[in-house]
Amino acid sequence: MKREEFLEQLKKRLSRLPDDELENVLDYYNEIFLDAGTENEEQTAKNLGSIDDIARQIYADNNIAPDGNPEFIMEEVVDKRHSEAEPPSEKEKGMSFGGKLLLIILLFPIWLPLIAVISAVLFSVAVTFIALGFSLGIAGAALTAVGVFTIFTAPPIGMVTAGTGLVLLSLGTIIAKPLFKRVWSGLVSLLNWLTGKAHGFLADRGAV
Amino acid sequence: MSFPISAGLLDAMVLSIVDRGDTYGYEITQYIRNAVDVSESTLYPVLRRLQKSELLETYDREYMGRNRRYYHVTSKGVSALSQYRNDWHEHKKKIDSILLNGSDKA
Repeated sequence: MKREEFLEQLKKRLSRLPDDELENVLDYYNEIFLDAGTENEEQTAKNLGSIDDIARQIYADNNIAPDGNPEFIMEEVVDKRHSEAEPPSEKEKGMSFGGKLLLIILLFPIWLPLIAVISAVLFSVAVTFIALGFSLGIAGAALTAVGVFTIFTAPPIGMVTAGTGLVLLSLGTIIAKPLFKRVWSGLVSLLNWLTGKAHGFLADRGAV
Repeated sequence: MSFPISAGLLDAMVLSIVDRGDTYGYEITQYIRNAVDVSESTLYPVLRRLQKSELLETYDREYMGRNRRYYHVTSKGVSALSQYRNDWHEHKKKIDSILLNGSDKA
């Protein structure tokens, strides 16, 4: 087969290819023939192999369904590192360490105020109750002391006052004690949870 | 030869040839054919792929009254080539360690 004939047949066979792609193919093969020498055209055509195979490979490369099984389509072992498309496996595996970290950092306008508000509310509630307990305790102690002194001058008033003081003192203790406990254990478990999270997060990447 | 040549290896070899100096299709195929038995038809997809992934770029030069398409390695192509060379070293070392049984001192 001569050059002209080869190119003509190839063109016919590649009719479904976009024009610019077709032109590129024909230019390439034309050049191969010319560079191999006009006196060697038959041999060159023989070396190039079957036109059907060439066409099927090119259709496959252009994501056009080839009509048959090409013989020399190479396995897709081509590594895609240098091509534009990102490998899909990366996304399926979930986000990378860097991705998660970046997300956490970028989302700080959301989580920072949220954490601040929650801790502020918890703190103020705790402070309120502690203050309540504390002031009840102080008032109770003061009233008890005053009452005990008053017992010597005016026993009924002194006893009422001291009794009220004792009641207030016990009320204060009742409020403050469990709160102290709860705040303390809450803090401890919050710390445990945070360090656990951080540890798990790092251990996932094998950093710990 | 008993070992088939992979597409990735062809990509690397073509990049390496063009990296020595801009050259045209026929010359590239002749270099490759010195080492492995592939046809110009096998190399067309390789060249096209390297162009599409911007590792090679082309320009036309007139030669004896016609156009010849020259290939040139882009900067992206240069870094891809050096990656390919590293990979090849690693690959070769591992295969050698088994195939040559550690007996080959060369």
